[in-house]
Amino acid sequence: MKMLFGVCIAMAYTTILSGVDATCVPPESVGLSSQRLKNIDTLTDTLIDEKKMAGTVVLVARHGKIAYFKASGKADEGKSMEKDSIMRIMSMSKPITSVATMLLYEQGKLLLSDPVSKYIPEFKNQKVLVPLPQGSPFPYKLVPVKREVTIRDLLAHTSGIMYISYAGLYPNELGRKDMLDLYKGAQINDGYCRSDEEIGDMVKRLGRLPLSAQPGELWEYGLNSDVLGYLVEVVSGMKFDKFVEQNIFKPLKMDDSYFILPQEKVHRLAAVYKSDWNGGLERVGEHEMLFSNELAMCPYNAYETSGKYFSGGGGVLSTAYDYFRFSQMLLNKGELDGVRLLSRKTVELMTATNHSGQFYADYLHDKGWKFGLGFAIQQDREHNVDAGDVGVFEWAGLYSTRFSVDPKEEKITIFFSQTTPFGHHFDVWDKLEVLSASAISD
Amino acid sequence: MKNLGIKITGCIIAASVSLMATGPRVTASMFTDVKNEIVAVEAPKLYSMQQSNGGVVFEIVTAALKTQNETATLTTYPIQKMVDYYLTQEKVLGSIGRVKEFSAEDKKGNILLPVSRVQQQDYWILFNVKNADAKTIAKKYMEGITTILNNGQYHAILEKYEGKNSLSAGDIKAFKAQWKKELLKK
Repeated sequence: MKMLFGVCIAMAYTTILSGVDATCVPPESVGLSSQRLKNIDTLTDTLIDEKKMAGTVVLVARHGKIAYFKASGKADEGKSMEKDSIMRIMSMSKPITSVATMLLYEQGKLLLSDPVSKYIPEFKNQKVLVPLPQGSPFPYKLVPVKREVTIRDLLAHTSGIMYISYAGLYPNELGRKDMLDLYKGAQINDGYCRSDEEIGDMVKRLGRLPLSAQPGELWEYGLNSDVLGYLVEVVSGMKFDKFVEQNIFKPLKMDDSYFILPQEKVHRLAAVYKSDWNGGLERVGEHEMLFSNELAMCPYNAYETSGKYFSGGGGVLSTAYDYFRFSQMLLNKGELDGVRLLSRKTVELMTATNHSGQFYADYLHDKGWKFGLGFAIQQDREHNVDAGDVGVFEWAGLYSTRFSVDPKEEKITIFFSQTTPFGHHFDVWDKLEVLSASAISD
Repeated sequence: MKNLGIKITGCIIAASVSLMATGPRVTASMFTDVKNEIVAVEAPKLYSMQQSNGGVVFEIVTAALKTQNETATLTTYPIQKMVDYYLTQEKVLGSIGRVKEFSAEDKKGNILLPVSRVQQQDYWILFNVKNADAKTIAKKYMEGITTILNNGQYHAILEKYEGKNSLSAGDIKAFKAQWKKELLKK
């Protein structure tokens, strides 16, 4: 009992985050071992001591209560990382966009089986790029889709829409070089830099370009959530940022989540650091663009207090606590603090593992992980990436953020950092999953 | 009797819902006959799939063809490479755009005819001779443009988009002269 009390004092029993009461309970009261959770301290302290990451925020919650919540290191030069530091969550925006879509689904405004062209006519009569053998007079041919891209395809990443930056993950036999040429020529971007246009402008151009695969025939991580963001605009008649603000952020009291930060919160934004994972840690410059092969990112966009490109795939800025609230809503099957966003049946649908057919979501993960309607879901325990349970669902963001929800254990794990490149964080995350799961003591 | 009527209506609705749920969905695309396809790089207002009549330049083309009982569909793309693909590989009827947008290969052997001058820019239609119908339809287009120039429709379409009094009599006269020159060339 003495030990329990000590742990909770050390971790700040109650933390006031910008007026939000983020109570931390004694871990043992929710079946977690405070002693074992200290292993997370060791993990993050080591990362920071070895200058692999500048700062981190880690949150572990169980049965709806936060049992571990700790900020370590620095958020910027001369500024310590705080629990309420705001970060670029990048692709962790995707589950939020999926929820936005499912809200309209529950209102009867769309069906997952609806062709996207029903709402965005540019997606009508799409074609698929099929490369022709070397030496052919033309490098490829465009063949009609066997069926149209549906809203479910967008949610499950089975549409055949690519990301420019991930095209290299696929063999060029799939015509990726030609697809890249067309995407670049049409000024499609991955949404990691804010364009001076509205999301619909880009999505309409995208709809007129070929697909990389027949809808439903390949799991390919792509710009699907950006298309969904525009689809939400078309169906709801609201700008995507306003729709999300009014229908998700406000009801869930995610008071520090935005597409565009208000001026008074800019000082809470954590800087992005480049890490060579070998002690070389450098703050990204004020207006520095980050390039890596086809990947282009503009972390400085987050400091801008105006903009009109609301990327459903990567545009949200948030805090670990806000994302905990979002995750808890999903864990609670659609409800948080008496506010119901989605029905139990819809969350069950989103976390079902058969949306991507035979295909695994092995990008980020491994075999044994399927993609639902917005995140990857662990399907078995036979493979390398193990989050502790079949049914765990999770996703990540390009500046090394990640979340995971274990429905069986009612446990949420959140890791926030602002570190590039992304690849280094896999080891940290896999270990954090182990530490979080092995802290269960009931 | 009123009740019976309601019941019958209810049965019909129930039957149609059931058919929708079990049978294939009927979509507009199942009945779309893509004939005389013209491709272009999307140019809002001028030639655009977002405009009900395809924009001012495309509407002139379709008005001309309509006088000859021909129709055309417009498909726009965000990039010239795709337009070139459809011209060379899919042998679509043609493309519209400014002369400088057509590559040397596009122009080679194809039939290039003027459509209109809008906002100090000349717009042309390129009939793709790889398409078996291109020569015939190009001829019909020429006849059609002459017809709509003479009956005032050409002027009316331009005014619809560009506003009344936006065109001087001189503009139309200049285009007619250009058109005559083209006719002589052909």
